[in-house]
Amino acid sequence: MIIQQYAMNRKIKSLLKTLYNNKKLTLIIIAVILIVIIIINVISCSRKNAIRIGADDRIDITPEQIRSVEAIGQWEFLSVSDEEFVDTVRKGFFSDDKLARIYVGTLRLGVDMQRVQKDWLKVDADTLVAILPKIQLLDKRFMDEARTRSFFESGSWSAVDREALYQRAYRLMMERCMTVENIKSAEENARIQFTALFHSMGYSSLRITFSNQ
Amino acid sequence: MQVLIMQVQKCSRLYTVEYNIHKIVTHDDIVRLKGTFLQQTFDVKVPIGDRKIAIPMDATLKAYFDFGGFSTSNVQKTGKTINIILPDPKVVLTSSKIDQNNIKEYVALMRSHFSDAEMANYEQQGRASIIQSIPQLDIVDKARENATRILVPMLKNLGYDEHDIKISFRKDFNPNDLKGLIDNSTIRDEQKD
Repeated sequence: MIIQQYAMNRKIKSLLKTLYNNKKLTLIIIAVILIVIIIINVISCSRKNAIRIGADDRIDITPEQIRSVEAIGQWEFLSVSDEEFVDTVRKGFFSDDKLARIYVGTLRLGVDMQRVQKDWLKVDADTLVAILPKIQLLDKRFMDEARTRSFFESGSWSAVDREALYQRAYRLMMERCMTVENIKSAEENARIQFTALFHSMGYSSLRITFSNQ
Repeated sequence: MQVLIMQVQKCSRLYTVEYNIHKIVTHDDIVRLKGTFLQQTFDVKVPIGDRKIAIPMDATLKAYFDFGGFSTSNVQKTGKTINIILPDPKVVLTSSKIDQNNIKEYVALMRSHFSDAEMANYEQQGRASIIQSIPQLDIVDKARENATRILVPMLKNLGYDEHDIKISFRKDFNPNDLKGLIDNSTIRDEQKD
């Protein structure tokens, strides 16, 4: 055992002596060790390498401007939320261009309290008489165009094309939602709601009618 | 053309104020090379040209009082006087319109035009930005003022003297409460989009 250790020490001493005498070999060994360290380091750092090309799709921060503030008195009794799928095709020589969008809107039906007559509400003997204006679409601006979803697009489309699609969706929503059934349903609900309102104020006998105006 | 969803809902809501909001949504589309190399992050502009777009849009916000749950607990009568306690107002975005004819686009030669899907995304972000600005508007106070203007004449018609009519509200709201007054459908739409 002691003999083996002695032999090992002699070998190491001899190797160090050789290196001391041969400086070129020493430099080569040091260079190899450094290169190995650098390679290991580069490999370990490169594991987290990532590269991406693209643009940020967030909008810039811009102010909101209040154009107008209006006092209104619209009593809504029925809301109809609608989604319409509208598309258009432009015939081409080689291929056709297509644009399809999904529009969203909510039509609100009710009575405009600014259109009530002067004596629309009065107490006649022990009966409360209310004459409401006729049920109407409370706001013609019912479409939420900023919620429109782009479904399909091929080819190039202009602002005029998009506006035409919007107008078609608008007409479709009007046709589908402003039905006799919905107007009747809003009228019935108006009666129910006004009855409940005046009951809670202590009026038990009520007569609610709608004017033609 | 087909209808996707139609939902009919009965309600009793008194809308008392309307705000018309205008906003120009802008987006600066700059292509960038981003990443990390040897634990060093980098972010450089790629010189292939920029795209810019400006989309003018208008939105209508309305505040309403929901009379759906109105009951005798909302009415206090003492002798000749009547006190109506109104429910909390709610704010809803009822419509939005994109001014298609005035959309401005600047696209470099090397870049493609903005797609319909990209424009729709910017418009949805513009809508969300308007909804976020609601607490800064004075819409709730205006809604209360105008509710009084509608209900007082109504009660006068019922025989009450103007001095005997009181319209009151459940509580005063601080800026932190105002986000809670945005109608659920408006917030739900925003999250869905």
